[in-house]
Amino acid sequence: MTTAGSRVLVGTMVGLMVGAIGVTAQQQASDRGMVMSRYGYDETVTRVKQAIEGQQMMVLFTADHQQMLSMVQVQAPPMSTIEFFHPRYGKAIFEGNRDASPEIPLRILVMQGEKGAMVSWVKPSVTIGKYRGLESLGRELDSTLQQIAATVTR
Amino acid sequence: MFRKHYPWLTAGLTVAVVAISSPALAQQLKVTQTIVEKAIDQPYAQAVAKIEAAIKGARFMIIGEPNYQQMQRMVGRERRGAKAYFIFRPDLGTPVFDNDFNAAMEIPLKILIYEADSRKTIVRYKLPSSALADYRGLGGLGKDLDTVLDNIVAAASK
Repeated sequence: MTTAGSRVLVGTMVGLMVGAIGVTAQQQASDRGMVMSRYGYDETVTRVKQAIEGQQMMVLFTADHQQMLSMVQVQAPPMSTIEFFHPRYGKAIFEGNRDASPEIPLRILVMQGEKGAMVSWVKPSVTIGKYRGLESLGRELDSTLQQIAATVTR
Repeated sequence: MFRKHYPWLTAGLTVAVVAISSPALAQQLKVTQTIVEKAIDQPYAQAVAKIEAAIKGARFMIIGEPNYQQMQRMVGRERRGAKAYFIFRPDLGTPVFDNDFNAAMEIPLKILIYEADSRKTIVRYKLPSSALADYRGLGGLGKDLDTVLDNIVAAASK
């Protein structure tokens, strides 16, 4: 198989996997949240960003995986990671347990599947809450992310 | 095959060879199953410049570099220099998405840099092998990336 052919195949496989996940998108693993969006991909990205700002948090940047993968000739479906945070949480982490600092900022992944756009995230209670002294902050941020994700389901 | 799918690793190994040829000055402060923390005996600005050069030397793209010192000032907390580099290589995406696209959640990788005092800088990052451990077929990639990040810090420590 040619390199170009294999890259197209990779892209196709990604699309199929995303579609397969879409079937069970409302299910949540214990450490992960996932919801199907009622909106298209671009609208979902916009609404998630607005919801983040509505929670008085800052969008630091958005990593466009589709664009980045196109640099190596991989055709992937639309997929972006949105990185966001607020310095007040940074302060809590730096003063509470700075070991957790590589876990920030928070991340939400928006991707396009066959059934539509979906939003997923690893729960902060798993990433941040596993560090001693930050358990309650992790649970608090779980709730915040749930509220952000909920804005694309209604 | 190896060079085709892991050209970023080839670059990382190049960094390793350079690092081995000179004494590494990074002092390992902490290694857990998740976090690595190392001290570099260099002023913050100098260490930041060297880390940035080492990242680019390993052919990673810097796609974000939040300034945590400025962000902490927003909530009234004064601290010394602190920033992060969010780094990515597009060709890294191929093995990640080929094995488990859910691992996109772990991309980009992050390296944090803190000013400890006027002569010492701390580098901290989450081990890629830990970040990728729960994703299908990416354990080997995670371990390889552990080595790449270690080599970046070592190269910046010279």
